[in-house]
Amino acid sequence: MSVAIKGEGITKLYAKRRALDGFDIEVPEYAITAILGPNGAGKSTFMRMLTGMVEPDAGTLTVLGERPSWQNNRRISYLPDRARWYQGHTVEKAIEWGARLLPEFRKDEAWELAGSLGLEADLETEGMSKGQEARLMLALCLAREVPLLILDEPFSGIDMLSREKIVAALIDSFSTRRQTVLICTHEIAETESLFDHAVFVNDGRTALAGSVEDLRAERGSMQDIYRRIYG
Amino acid sequence: MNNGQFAFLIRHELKLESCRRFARSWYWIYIASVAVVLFVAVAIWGEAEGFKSEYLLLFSFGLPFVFCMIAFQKLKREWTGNTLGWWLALPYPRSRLLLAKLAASFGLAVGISVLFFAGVAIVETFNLLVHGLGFGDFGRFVKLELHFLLILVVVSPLMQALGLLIAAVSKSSLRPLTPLLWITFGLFGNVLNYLNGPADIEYGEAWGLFGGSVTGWIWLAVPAVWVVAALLFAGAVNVCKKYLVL
Repeated sequence: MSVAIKGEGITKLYAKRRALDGFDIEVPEYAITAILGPNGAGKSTFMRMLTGMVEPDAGTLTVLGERPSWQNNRRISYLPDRARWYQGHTVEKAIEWGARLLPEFRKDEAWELAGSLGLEADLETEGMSKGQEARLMLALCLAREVPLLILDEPFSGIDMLSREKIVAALIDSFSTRRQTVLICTHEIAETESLFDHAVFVNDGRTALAGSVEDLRAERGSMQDIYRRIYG
Repeated sequence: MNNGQFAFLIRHELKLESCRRFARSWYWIYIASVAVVLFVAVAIWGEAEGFKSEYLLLFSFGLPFVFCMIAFQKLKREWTGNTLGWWLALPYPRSRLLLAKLAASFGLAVGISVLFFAGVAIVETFNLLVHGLGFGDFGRFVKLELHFLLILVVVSPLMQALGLLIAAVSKSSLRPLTPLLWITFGLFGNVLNYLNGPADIEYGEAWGLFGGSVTGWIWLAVPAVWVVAALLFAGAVNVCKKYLVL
């Protein structure tokens, strides 16, 4: 198994709080990996490290064989946690922004995705529901043909119908591409079928990791495992 | 990042704030109200002994503060608008990302300054026409405005680099330095007051610099101001690279 992301002993401190505390992880290449855990477990800190936004205080991390950096972000499509889109933009402007600034951005694909997610070209960000905005941001991420896709809480605060549309778009996208995907989410029930690999994070450390198939065979559904670890 | 992408990023920074702000109808209502009050006041008191159109230029003393806040808001907006993740994860160096904000802020500062001085020139023209005062001194007035404009253009990068640094520091582990930077903001922002000290604005002398009462070596202050601006900008880049608390 080739590894797309490898982290060893990653530690990150915020004041006196340890967001990550000797975190070890291996994300297999071309698999869909879920990073699971309660709020404050250190998931988003780790996701930000992958794009070089946050530097570890200790430990080593390689992403696609390199240390995280702005240069490496050319090969990463990243949906940030709690992100919003720029106010004053329309769907058209957002796609233009992606086409002009994001490497390997496929404009035609972005329009196709926007259409399938029910987003009109002249729809303004200020008039969008949270679900529409989330769909727009996901379309921008999925329209990039890069080896690594990172989605940090893509379903956070979104209604059921939008969640379903997003999951459908993800399934479509994953079925047609060879891409390593990392998803951090709390919506395990709706997304469990997507994952090949799962990493459970607790207090900044890896509580459990492995192939979803093996974990299910040994310990039951992802939800059951989640309850046992954090319940 | 190629030149086309950098230019696009600058346009993106320019459009986000300015388009939204000027699209608000109440914004224009305020501007129109101030203009009406100004024209009425000039029509009534323009001929009075104590009235000098040059005094209107004193409003520009506040512009360095405005310029600093423009840059400050451009960076702070990434946090308040929850767009920080998109911005920081762009595959470009932080220096370029911040330079785009600085360039857009500078463009806005020049635009605001030109509009301000053009507006004052229009008020002065109106005053001269309404009261039949003749245009003999109008050239001197415009020259005075250009002096003010030149100084504002010189100090703008300094104030705007400071604005970026304050915004970055306030979101970093260096946050305790923020009050010191706001004090610097107060000191630097009064640059027009300091320079206007030896001048006599009523007689068209903007500063000793232009009136000849200060020796030529003061022109060395221009590159010195820009060197300080570059240092502040480098500080903002470094804070965004290493010290942000996300």
